Amino acid sequence: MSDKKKERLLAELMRGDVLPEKEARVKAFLRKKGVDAARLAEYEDLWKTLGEVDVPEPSEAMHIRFRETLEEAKKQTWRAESPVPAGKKTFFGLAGAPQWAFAASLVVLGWFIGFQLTPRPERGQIQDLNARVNDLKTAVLLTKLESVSAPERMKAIQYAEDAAWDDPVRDALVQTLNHDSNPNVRLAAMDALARRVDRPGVRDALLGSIEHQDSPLLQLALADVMVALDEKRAAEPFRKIIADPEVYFSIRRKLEEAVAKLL
Amino acid sequence: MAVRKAWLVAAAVAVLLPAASGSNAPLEQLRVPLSSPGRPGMLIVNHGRGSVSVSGYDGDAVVVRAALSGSSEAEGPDAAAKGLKRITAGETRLSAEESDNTVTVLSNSAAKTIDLEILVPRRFNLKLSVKDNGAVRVSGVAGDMEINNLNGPVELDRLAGSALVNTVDGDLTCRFERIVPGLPLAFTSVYGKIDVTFPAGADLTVKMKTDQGAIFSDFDIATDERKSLSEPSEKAGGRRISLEDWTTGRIGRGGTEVLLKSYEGNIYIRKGSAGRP
Repeated sequence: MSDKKKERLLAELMRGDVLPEKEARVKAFLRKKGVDAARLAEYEDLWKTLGEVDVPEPSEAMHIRFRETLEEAKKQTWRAESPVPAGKKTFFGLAGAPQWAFAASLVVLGWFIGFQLTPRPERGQIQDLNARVNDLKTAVLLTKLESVSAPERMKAIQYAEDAAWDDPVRDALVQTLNHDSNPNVRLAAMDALARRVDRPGVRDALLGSIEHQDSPLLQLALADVMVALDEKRAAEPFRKIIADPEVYFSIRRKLEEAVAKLL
Repeated sequence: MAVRKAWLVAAAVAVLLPAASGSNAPLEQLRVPLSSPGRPGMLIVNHGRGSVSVSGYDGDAVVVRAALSGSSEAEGPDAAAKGLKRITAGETRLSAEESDNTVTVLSNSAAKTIDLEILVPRRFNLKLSVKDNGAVRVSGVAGDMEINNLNGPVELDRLAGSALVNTVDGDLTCRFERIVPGLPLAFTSVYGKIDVTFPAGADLTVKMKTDQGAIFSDFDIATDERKSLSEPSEKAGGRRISLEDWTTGRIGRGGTEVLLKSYEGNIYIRKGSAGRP
């Protein structure tokens, strides 16, 4: 506290603010703080010299410069305090556009490289899933072929025309061709099989189904297929049908024509 | 699964024909209630000889009427019996079973020509089969139709649902009130004509074939060639097998599959009015 008090008392003494009755006590205090009479006289000289320094009046130009400087400082403060409008100006400004485009292209490039470099197990999973969906389709098809509803079985055969062809599908169609209760469903199954006649087992299955058919529609349809395939082994089962006295005369005649073509 | 025990509604009802001179005197009527009224059911008739006519009505039971034809030997009135009074007649032995909304009608139609008239709720599936001596007629029933008539005609009117129809000799006439998308339709015959009417604006994929007949339609049918699925490489050097002689085409945008095949008969595909043909 002593230094601050000393400076304050010294300044008051120089300005002449110290009451005359206290001057002796202040001077005694200062002396105790190391400010002796000679030192005090130096301060008094300095104070007088300072009072004699000519302080110039501020000019008009100085005043204007000050106002400008103040305005500029205000603007800068306002910009610093409002970053959004300031940023907007740069973002949409012509000068900012190439930088932004460059930054965006970097992001896209980075994503692209990352995408290419990351191992992607889901690609294999998708193929897996496709295979499983196909399995499911086959399962639905096989289930539908055993439906009690004839239209459902008919629909199943329509699916089979687009489904992946495999032995279970073939066997189910052969089963339908030989044993389904509805002749139209049997005809559709025969047609689906005839379209795949080059696949293993299909030709023999068609040949073997002749003896199962009691419907004239199926007997004639199979005769057409056998003639188209030039399948000579079909002559024998057709002869058996021809020998059946229950078979209509006109159907018998058509079957005889087919057998004649095969031989 | 709780399988309802089939209960015989009326077994072996033998009724003597009253001394009527008409050839189709009403003989016996059965009313078969359904175990779940209001839900779609199924009618199964495996008929030997005689006609089967089925109509949709607003009731919730199946009503079967059987009439012995005037002569069990011929379709028309017995010429030899002209001027004579009938003293005795055969019996129809009409019966029906119901189980889980499936009604099976039985009769001794293998031995006699019996005509059946059956009323079913409008939403009903039908599985009708007639061997000889009669027509199959269905009117105003919405449901799946599975119909086989070896020697007689089939006439279906105001259909809405799937139909798989087959005859050997009989002509086939079907008029659809409405197509249910996705439900397959098939009409096949050996000797019969096939005459089908679809609502204007129907979307169908038709697959048709006739050996001796011709195909007619007033629909604009966009036909296209159907491709064989056989790999050409497997029969390299071999001769081309011609199995793909079906004509396929689209009516409207295509969709519901229709199979039409007759060996000897013509095929007619007619355009009905938009709502009701």
